[in-house]
Amino acid sequence: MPRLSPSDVVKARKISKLLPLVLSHTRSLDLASRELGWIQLELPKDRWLEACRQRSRGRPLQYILGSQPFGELDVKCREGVLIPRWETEEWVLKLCNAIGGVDKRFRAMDICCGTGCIALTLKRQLGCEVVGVDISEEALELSRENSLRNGVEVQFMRCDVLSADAGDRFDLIVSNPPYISMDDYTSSEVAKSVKLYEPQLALVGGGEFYHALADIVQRTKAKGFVFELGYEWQYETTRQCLPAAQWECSLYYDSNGKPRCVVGWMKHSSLAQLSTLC
Amino acid sequence: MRQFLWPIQRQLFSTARSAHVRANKLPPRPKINEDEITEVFLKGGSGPGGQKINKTNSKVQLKHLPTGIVVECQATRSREQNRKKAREILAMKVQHLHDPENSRTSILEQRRMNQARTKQKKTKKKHSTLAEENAQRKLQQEQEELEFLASLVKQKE
Ligand SMILES: C[S@@+](CC[C@H](N)C(=O)[O-])C[C@H]1O[C@@H](n2cnc3c(N)ncnc32)[C@H](O)[C@@H]1O
Repeated sequence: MPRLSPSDVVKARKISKLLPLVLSHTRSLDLASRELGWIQLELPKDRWLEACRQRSRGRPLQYILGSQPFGELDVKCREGVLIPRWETEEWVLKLCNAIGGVDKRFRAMDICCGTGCIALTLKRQLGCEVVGVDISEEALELSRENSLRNGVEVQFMRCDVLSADAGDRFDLIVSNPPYISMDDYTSSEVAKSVKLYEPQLALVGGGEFYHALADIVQRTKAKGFVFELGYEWQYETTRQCLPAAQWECSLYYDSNGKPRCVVGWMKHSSLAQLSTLC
Repeated sequence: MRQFLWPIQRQLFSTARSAHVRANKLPPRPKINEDEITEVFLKGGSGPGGQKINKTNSKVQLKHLPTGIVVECQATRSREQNRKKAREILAMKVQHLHDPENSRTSILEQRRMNQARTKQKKTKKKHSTLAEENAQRKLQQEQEELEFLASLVKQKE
């Protein structure tokens, strides 16, 4: 995190009494001004001071404002459920563009759905049938609220991906599972405000999730998948779980140049166009 | 001089007609050709990203290849909305470059000045008609559009 410059604090004070509060967390005057602008735009005046105080303590802006835009959706956010990240929004929109027109019988499943942002975007953009699952009741409740809020119909169900016995057929499986290693979670690799305010259940995980997801891909007879990841080895793990004779896997990088997803498709299937994502 | 007359005309003639005249005068919002631009999403720094950090990153940068004009937009929290806004701004700038006199930007600016002058002249009227209110609202929208443009230019400097 960059240092807070004293001259910026002086400048901030001159602009608004509230600005130094926001600045003390963001450290950048430019970002602080934009955040304050959004607070003033989206919240009633009598909540500005409290909002800025919370921001100075590192409470995520999305929990303070209660939402995060995601593609065309306005996603409701609250403590207990992970805030959607821009990297996720990016690959989900690219995925929708890549597969474009699918027929009415196409079925997609979003595993570890959290706020429901991925499932709802797939439904909105592709119009196919979508099912979202998560282990957390809080996440499912929020997903259902987001379905209503955005007028997008998706079925959300409770399911533990690590002990699932899915029998249904799906064409496409997507997931953003918890992928941070415990070592990184306890180090300074993970931002303090993430550890303080977002649920550990949504963040810490590893190989077991990619094993389970690859297993679900095969049991549901899916033809393609996209799983977000945090480390390149998670791509290797996933690839090794699938028979190389039928499956092709590739590593997708986000616009910041970081490995971000493992993308897989069954050779010669209708989802082979997923290769255009990478 | 003609420009000074039209607010009076608006009171004399039917509102539908004056609305028509105004609509004709303002060139439509220009569009940008997707083949002529490159788009960059400005990065979230050197950190690991993803679940490990929660950063607002909605900044969009567009470059118009034929003219080299570059615009950035991070006005809203939504990257998708910023992508749309950036295209609107770029299109207006390109149009302004090609035809400064008749561009939407210039005409909006001119209108704003005329409006300010007539406001000074006009004696305060108690009852404004619905049509006038509508016209006022539209003018305000146009003004906001201009101010938005100006603020973006400022941000870049
Ligand atoms: C990183 S969050 C992703 C949320 C959302 N899909 C997104 O992209 O913003 C991971 C989610 O996985 C859920 N989760 C954790 N363990 C799980 C399990 N064993 N089975 C199903 N879901 C689980 C958490 O509740 C959390 O909502």
